[in-house]
Amino acid sequence: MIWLFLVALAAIAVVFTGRRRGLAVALTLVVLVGVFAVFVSMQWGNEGLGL
Amino acid sequence: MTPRRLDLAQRLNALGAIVSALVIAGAWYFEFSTHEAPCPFCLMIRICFTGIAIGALLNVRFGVKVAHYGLCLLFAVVGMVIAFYDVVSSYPPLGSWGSTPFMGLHLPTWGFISFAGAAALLGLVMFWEGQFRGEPMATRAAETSSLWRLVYYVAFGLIAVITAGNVIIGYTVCGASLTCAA
Repeated sequence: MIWLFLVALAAIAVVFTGRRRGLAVALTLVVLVGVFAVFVSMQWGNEGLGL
Repeated sequence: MTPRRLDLAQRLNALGAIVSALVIAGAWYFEFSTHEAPCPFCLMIRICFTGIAIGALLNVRFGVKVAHYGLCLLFAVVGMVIAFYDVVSSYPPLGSWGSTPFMGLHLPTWGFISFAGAAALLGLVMFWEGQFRGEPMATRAAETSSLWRLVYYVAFGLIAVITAGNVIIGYTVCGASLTCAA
């Protein structure tokens, strides 16, 4: 899962440089979709909550 | 590298990014004081707080835009979903988390409350339409003082250091796995 933190770090660096807003937003969206995809992939098939 | 001028909304966003970074720093404090590695869900919750901070920093660096607040809101919603699942799937909490609760609640529960609070705050902030009006920042804001320049660098520095630290912590918990699945 560290790739998500690495992409987030890259997004922070791009925001700091202040040059490419589109790239910064795109990297942030990759993190957003990525974290949700990781969450779904880890829970796929676990319909119950195991209470 | 510092923008010459930061208006009020950008300054508040810089403070918001710092608060978001400090929330993760608080989780570090619990992690190191109790010698407990974070669960994969906890790492995902930290990523969502990082995403909220990045959205705020986008506002600081590129000017306040609805899209940046939208990113923050989406991270808050995804964080709420993950934190909620973490809370309900780990019931009873003491059996699986084992850590000392903070003010009677465990960290994922605090995460859920924080994301809900952030989402509500973002919704309220969007009512302030003046921050989106298009005139150039230079005509609206005073010259950035040394104090706010410091806040600007602290916001970027803090979230960068904490995210880099989370790379190391994430590697110790999940290795280089894409999904942290066992």
